[in-house]
Amino acid sequence: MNIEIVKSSLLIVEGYDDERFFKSFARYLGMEEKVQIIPIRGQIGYRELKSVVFTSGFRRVKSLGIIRDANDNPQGAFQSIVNSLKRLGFSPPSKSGEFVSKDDIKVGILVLPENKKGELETVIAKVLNTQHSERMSCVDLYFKCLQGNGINIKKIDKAKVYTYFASYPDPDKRLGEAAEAGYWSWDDREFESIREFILKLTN
Amino acid sequence: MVYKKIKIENFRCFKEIELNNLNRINLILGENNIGKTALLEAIFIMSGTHPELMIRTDRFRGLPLFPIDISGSESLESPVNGFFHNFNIAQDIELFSERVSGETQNIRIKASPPSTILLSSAEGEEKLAITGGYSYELCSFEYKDSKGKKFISKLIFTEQGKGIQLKIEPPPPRPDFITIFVYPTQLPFQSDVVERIGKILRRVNEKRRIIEVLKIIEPRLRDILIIPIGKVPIIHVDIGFDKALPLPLAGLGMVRLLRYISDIMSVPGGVVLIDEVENGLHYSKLTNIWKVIGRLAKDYDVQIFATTHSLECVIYAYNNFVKDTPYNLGVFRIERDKDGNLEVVEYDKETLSISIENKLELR
Repeated sequence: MNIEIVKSSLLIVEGYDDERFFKSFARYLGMEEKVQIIPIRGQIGYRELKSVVFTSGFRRVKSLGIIRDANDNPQGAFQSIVNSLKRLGFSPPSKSGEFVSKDDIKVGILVLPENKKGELETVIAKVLNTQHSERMSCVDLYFKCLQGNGINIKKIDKAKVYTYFASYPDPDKRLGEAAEAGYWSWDDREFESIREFILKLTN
Repeated sequence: MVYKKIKIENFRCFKEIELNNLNRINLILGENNIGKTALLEAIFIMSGTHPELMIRTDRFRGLPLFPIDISGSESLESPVNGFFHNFNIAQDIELFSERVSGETQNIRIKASPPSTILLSSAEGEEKLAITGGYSYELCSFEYKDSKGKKFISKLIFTEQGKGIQLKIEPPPPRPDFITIFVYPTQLPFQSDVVERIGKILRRVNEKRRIIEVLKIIEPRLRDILIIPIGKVPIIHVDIGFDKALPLPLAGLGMVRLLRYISDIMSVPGGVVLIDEVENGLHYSKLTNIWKVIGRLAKDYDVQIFATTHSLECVIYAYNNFVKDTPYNLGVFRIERDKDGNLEVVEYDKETLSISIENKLELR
């Protein structure tokens, strides 16, 4: 089944897992019916955004949001989306988390985590540290042990989050599945920027 | 390959539409009633030098020569009016093309001054009689190209005896290349098609090639023959039965594929227009069919424009042409802009690739 754009609020995210995560979040906010989430495999760049803009039904979009990982360069990640949007004729916002309206469409970008290196899982790791500190302290010990043995983990937050998931009876859940299964409460200040972004997108 | 760019104004559903970066194989996508067939018709008309092609496209669509109620006397709208956007005959149709060679060509179609024709009662389409028995000019067809060729032909509707005829005055020069239009509803055994296929079958190597290609659909195929049934020559296939099988009994896929390959072979250096290219073809055969169409189009230097509603058809075409250097596939979707006007979305290789990979709807 191919993705046709059918809603006026469109959120572009990185991958199917992120799609399920943000869909769960939108459901929690009561916005699931108002927003269509499109997963793009890999990083979102000019070519990927162009493909979305070319997709059947795009002209009904009034509000476009893009969420991507900061990775090693939060400012570079933001600027890359800004440049892509400009090439496609949109007016991008000047900072992450904001929207700009022009020519009947508002456009927003959110880079996660905000103003620091990392991924969506960096935000989740913080949430888990707060909400499930007992289990996460065990996870931390495990990674300390690895590091003590000279094993360097590149994406430590991502690794911690998946290790945490492995502590449940169904140990191989992905991020999206964990979100759907209620592994954390959405009512957490670490999710504030995402919450605000989705509300701005849909209002 | 002929065309690099085309621009169509005031034709059928198009106020103005432009297709750039045309390729050897061009797929036209879009919803129903968005103008895919009309686009092929515009190319068909611009590829010839003959205003009669306009009337022929109406016939392909199944319209009678004179689409009127003939139950009694009434006024008749000119049969060319339907070619003008929104029936606005005050605006000329403009068909502009730029060829790969860099030459340009412009065709302007002007409706003759509005008028009506009174018809007396008649028994049938072929026996319509025009009161007064005069001729009526339908439109003028003004051709101009960058090589300096220039002429004006007029399409004239005239009474002759009890019937009606179309005349082209003065007769236009021959076009530089031949264009064939394949409609999905066309019957396989129109005499001109059988004649064309018969000519190819007389050339041994080409016949062999056709048999090899048709084996994509029917691996048992041994031979292809033209055998009269009554006085009508009919294409037959030998698939190992005691008797050769009339082609339509072998299936629509065979009919369609034979039509495509014989059309390409018949118009070297020309253009083949195919409406609903996937019609009658199973998806599992599409990879090989695109391979064959691509190879033949290259060998015979034919440019192809095909409409499709099938995503599989686009994906298999992409998979087949993606590794070619140069890349031979153009994919265009016709859609409405915010003001309701039709426009074209042109998929380059990368955008098409990402759209397919991410399952983004492109039809």
